Amino acid sequence: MSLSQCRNLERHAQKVPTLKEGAAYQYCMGKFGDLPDSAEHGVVATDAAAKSKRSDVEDATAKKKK
Amino acid sequence: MSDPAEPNADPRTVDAPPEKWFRFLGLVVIRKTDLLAGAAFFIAVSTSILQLTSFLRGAEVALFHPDTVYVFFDKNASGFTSARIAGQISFTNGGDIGRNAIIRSVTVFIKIDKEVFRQEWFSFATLTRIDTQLQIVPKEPAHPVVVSGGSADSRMIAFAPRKRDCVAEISKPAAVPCDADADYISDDLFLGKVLQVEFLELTFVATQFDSRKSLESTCIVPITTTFRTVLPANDWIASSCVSKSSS
Repeated sequence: MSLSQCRNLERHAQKVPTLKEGAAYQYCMGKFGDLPDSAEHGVVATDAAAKSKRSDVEDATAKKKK
Repeated sequence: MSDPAEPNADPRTVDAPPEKWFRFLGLVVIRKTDLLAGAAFFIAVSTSILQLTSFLRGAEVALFHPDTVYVFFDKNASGFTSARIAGQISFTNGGDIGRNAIIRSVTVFIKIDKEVFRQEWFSFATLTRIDTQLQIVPKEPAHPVVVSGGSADSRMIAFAPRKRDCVAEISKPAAVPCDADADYISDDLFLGKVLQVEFLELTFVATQFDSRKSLESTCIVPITTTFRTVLPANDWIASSCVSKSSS
């Protein structure tokens, strides 16, 4: 199974816990480890990174003004 | 019979032997001269009987469930992801030429354990697969199908849930509370239910124009280990659907 298939399986397993008992899920865990929910986590991470950069710039600007 | 010795006797009957005849259905049939007419009479009567029988029998349509059923998850315009069914449905018409039938609608009843979900035909589709991705492209909206006499038709039909007609159900006495969205089953809810059972029972029912007789065909989809693995991984699976009678 590919990474995208395992991610899809993981996405369903979040709402259908029975799937976690299956051999496929165990295989995915063994092969790819912890599988973050790809798209949403990616967006959140990017957004968080942008926010932290923005706050860094704001901090630097504030320091300069002082 | 006239005496051949008589001088005024009819010359045509002078040397002719007496005509042989028999009775049939109250008619006197002279064997030699009426044989051709009798054959024509027999052909005319038998053809009329056959045509009348054919008219009374009309179209003889049969519905055949798909041998391979596609179960897939599809996100609709409102963002709801529902489990859907697709498959190649075939119709045959054993009636004579000219005795056509018109299929008005096809419905599939998905029985999971004791629950039944209903989906109506939605589109005639084209299925293509690229690696693990399945593409179900609607070719045209589902519409009535003419099945000519002595012929067959086959369509790849994609089914979809539809809102229940609660107004009609309320008018019935002692009606149970009606849920208009009861046939919409989400991908995760479907997976949760399917993982608990050994098989799905699919009953395909078709209705016809100008006929109260509905057509029915039932098959069983075994929930195998492959089914349990592939469906949640790919969001679709092609599974065999075995006739209920032969299972």
